[in-house]
Amino acid sequence: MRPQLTQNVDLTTIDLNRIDRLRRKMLRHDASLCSERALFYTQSFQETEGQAMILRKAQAFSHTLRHMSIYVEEDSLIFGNQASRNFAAPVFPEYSIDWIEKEIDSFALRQGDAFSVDPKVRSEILSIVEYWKGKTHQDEVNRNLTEEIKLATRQGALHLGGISMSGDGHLVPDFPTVLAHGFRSVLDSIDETSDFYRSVRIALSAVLAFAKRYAGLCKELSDHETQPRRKQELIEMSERADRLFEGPASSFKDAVQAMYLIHVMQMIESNGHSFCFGRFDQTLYPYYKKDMESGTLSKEVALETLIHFFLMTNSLNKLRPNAHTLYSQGYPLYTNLMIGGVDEHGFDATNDLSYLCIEAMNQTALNEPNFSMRYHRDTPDELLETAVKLIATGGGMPSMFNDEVAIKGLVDLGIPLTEARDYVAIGCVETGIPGKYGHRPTGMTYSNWGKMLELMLYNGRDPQSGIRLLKVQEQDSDDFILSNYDELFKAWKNVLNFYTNLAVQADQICDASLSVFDADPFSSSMMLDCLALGKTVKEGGCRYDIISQSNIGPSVVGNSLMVLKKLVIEEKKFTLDQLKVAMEDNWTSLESAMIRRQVLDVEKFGNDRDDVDQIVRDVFDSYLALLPKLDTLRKGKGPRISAYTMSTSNITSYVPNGMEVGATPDGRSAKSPLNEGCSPTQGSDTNGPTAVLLSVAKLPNEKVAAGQLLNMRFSPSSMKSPESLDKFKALLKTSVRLGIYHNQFNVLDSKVLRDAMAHPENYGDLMVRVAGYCAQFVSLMPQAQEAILARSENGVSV
Amino acid sequence: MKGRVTNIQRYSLHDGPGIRTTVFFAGCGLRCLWCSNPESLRNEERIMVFTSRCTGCAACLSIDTDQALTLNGKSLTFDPQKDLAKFIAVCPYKVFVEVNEEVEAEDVANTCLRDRLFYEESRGGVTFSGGEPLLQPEFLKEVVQRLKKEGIHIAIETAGNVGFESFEVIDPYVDLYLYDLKFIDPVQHLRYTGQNNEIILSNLERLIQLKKNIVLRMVLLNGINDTDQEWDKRFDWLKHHSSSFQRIELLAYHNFGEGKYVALGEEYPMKDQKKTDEIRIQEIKGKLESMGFEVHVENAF
Repeated sequence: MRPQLTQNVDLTTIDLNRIDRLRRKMLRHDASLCSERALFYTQSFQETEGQAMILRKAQAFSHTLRHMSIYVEEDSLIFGNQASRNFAAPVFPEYSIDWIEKEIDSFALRQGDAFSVDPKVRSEILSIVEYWKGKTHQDEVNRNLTEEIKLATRQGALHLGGISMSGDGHLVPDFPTVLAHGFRSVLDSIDETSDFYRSVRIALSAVLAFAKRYAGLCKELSDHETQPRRKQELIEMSERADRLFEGPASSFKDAVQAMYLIHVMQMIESNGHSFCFGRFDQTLYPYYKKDMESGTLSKEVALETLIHFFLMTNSLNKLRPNAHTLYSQGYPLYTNLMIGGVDEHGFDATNDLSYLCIEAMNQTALNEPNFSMRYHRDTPDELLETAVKLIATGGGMPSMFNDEVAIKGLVDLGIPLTEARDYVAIGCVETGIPGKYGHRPTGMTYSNWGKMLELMLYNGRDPQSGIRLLKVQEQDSDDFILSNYDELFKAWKNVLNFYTNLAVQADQICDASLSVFDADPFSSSMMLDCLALGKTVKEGGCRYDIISQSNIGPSVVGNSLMVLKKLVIEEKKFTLDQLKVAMEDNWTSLESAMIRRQVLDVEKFGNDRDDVDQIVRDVFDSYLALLPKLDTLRKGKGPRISAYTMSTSNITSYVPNGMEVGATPDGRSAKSPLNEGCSPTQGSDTNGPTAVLLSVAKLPNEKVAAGQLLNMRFSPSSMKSPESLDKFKALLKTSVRLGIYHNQFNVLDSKVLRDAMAHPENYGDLMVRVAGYCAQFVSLMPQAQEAILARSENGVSV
Repeated sequence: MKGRVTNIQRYSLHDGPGIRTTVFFAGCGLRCLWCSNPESLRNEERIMVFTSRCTGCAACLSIDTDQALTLNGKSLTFDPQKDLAKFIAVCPYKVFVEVNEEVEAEDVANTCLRDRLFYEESRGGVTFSGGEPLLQPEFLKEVVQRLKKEGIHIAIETAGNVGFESFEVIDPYVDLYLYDLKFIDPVQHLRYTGQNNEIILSNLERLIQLKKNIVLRMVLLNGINDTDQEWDKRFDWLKHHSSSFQRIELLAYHNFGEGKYVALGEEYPMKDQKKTDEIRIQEIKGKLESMGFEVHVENAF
């Protein structure tokens, strides 16, 4: 058991041994492939030829839920499984199949995100490939992609990620309504007047049947169970399963179980990720309160239930192609679970569950759920302090969201204030309204801004592939004539505008296909306003249709423009051509290294230097200016608001995007990562966290309404003592006042500290703070560094 | 007015209350053998040589007219007595770094003001350290005047080895003194810091008389100043001052500064020195607490 972070709850009365066993099971990460869903979907599709896709999907979903293997995890209080065993990934052939066929024998060999494949599973999956060839979502997208878009992806300027070959996911069901009514009444009130409603009926019937199957299984298991406590638990679980979704959730435990099973079923219907739990403490509070008041629940039992729930979210999985694993490492599902924040009137809505969730995350200490917290000026000090203590344990959770900025961003898009106050993170940092956002708020087409900068400097021709899609200046050559800063920035805007339009085109092609292949009658039945409008989310059924691309590398662009402005245009230290020679050389020769040194000495974003910070702001503004004229596919087809906004929530994609870009004018070396989110380029922020926050505060954060991702690294020594934690809390509170949108704190472990010793040039931002002493970690003698490392490895405070 | 500053360090956590910016001044009258900021000891520019950054390109050798350097592959050695400043401009990898530039008081103050929201939220401020900040009293005064006009909390970290008139120059603007006491024993003080402690102690007693806010700081080194001989004297002296200090801070010795000696081409005087062990620290802490002091232990780890 980890040291307790919360007060007023007695962990010793909970079966911690069992939790430990369950946790170890989830930690083991034996990922495998499961063929059941693929087989059932294929069987069903073979029998529904000629029908509308949504009906086919509904029937296949139903067939699967009624026949797939179900089991109950030995030590768990929560039932529900996505595949035939723990941490197995189902296969979703209707989205894409070619890469599965190609890569099936290499899944087990991957360095990261590997999946073992049983020989029987292998032959079963290969047996269905032929049926799906040419008939998948990916095939449809490829048929419709224009030559220009394809060339742009070969340049590396654009990437079509999940939206081109997978379900979209990124939904937060309207849990309050679903829990308050269940599905039976919805089912009974459906008029089968269209394919959509017929499909919903089929799906919901299957959902109710699925729950009943667990009732039978739990009863059977209880009959054979000898241990009295477990026997009783299984009987309870059986009764729970029997009444699940038939009417309102009748208890806290029922509500928790319902949320979990819904999550599992969403991840059977679609292989999208980021199916999220929304404002978890708010959703469950009425059930918690009622049970506590009636004496049928205690804090300890509630906490135990939550820990089991949190642990179980780690049992689901998703198979991705080899190339995609670079963009999202660690089998991530981004199942966001959020606590805290204001209510619809703007008052703080913290409750007991807010604290219990922090404790549950503390005891879970795994990758899922993706735990996040909303906060504001009046967040209770105790909650903030408890959250800070969790952050200090490492693991980066919770990531923190600033209510003031997030809400303003949504209101500025036209969302009513009371609804905006209910916002959640969907996925990683993608902000939306629970129950009302029907598409991923971030990460439609990925835009590689580092590449666009490079293309600009070569007059539109990609040095790597030789492909050119536009000329930036009149001449035919790859030369770029740098006369003054205004012309330079105008050229940037031209390139950005060109590729943004291409990206939107790509978005629409993917969205058009998704509206067919990602038809999701089950998920859509839980989203407003699908049932009222009679449409799935992708057809225009969701209330708010607000999306954004994934824009990668603004700090690299800003830092580079600053160098060109200062050293080339103003101070004429060298010409652009001389700089390009040094870049092409990847700074290797003596001459190139001298140029690089000058370039590195120019102020970088993240150090609270107004000049370069303003340029990065201008880069953001150049993109924001393009948004009003961009349309989604669903405009006018149902949603109250259809719009593009901006987001810098790009997970780890800054790494593979960087691989496609040569050295850049900011001194970055060829193929190395771009910057993460809106954070400074790694290691270039050498003035400490207050300077980083002040730099980021100068960006138009409230306009990045789908999430402005900031990641900061702290050495353990800066967070350990109670006084240091207090100061960290003050840092968070100041962040609210500065208008910082989001912050995730990585408190580094010994592995990273070791890397800092080996590669100090990447760790300029790492600070050691000791009384009366000034230096960076990397200037320490190896023995001192070793000592710090040894301390952190032993769990002693460093 | 100009002065010499080694570094301005933002988000300092151990140099006074709250979130602070610490300004390290150049120049000090003491030469404590365990000093972790050797580059701050002289009020003049210093060249530091970070040989681990060397790639062996040998650009420096081409202008090394008086054999200041030797290069074996990537292994660079240097003679600190010779002129090294000229290499700064030719080294592409910033092996040679100049510290202790002259800066304008106005600029120092402006940098310190940038974090004021953080100071407000955390009840922090700005701390002046070094080196010995009181060796540039007029320069220091100009900086703190500007900060005080904006209501910033000011702390001075000093070893007190200056004439008291230097304190008087800036005292009107000071909220807190972090006073470093190295030894009570005058012989040991001279031996380990190069100066006797008469004015240090008399300055401290005057500050106490004037009822200033003082945190007493004492570094603990194993076998050097944690001995019974030294601490018997300290307890003796302290028993007359049980309400003179906001609190006492016991700082565990660390060797984080060693790398900087190497970069300066100097011998590290405290090789293999250990910090006082935990049991002894707790023993001293316990005794001080029983005398009525609030005691805080700062471990570098």
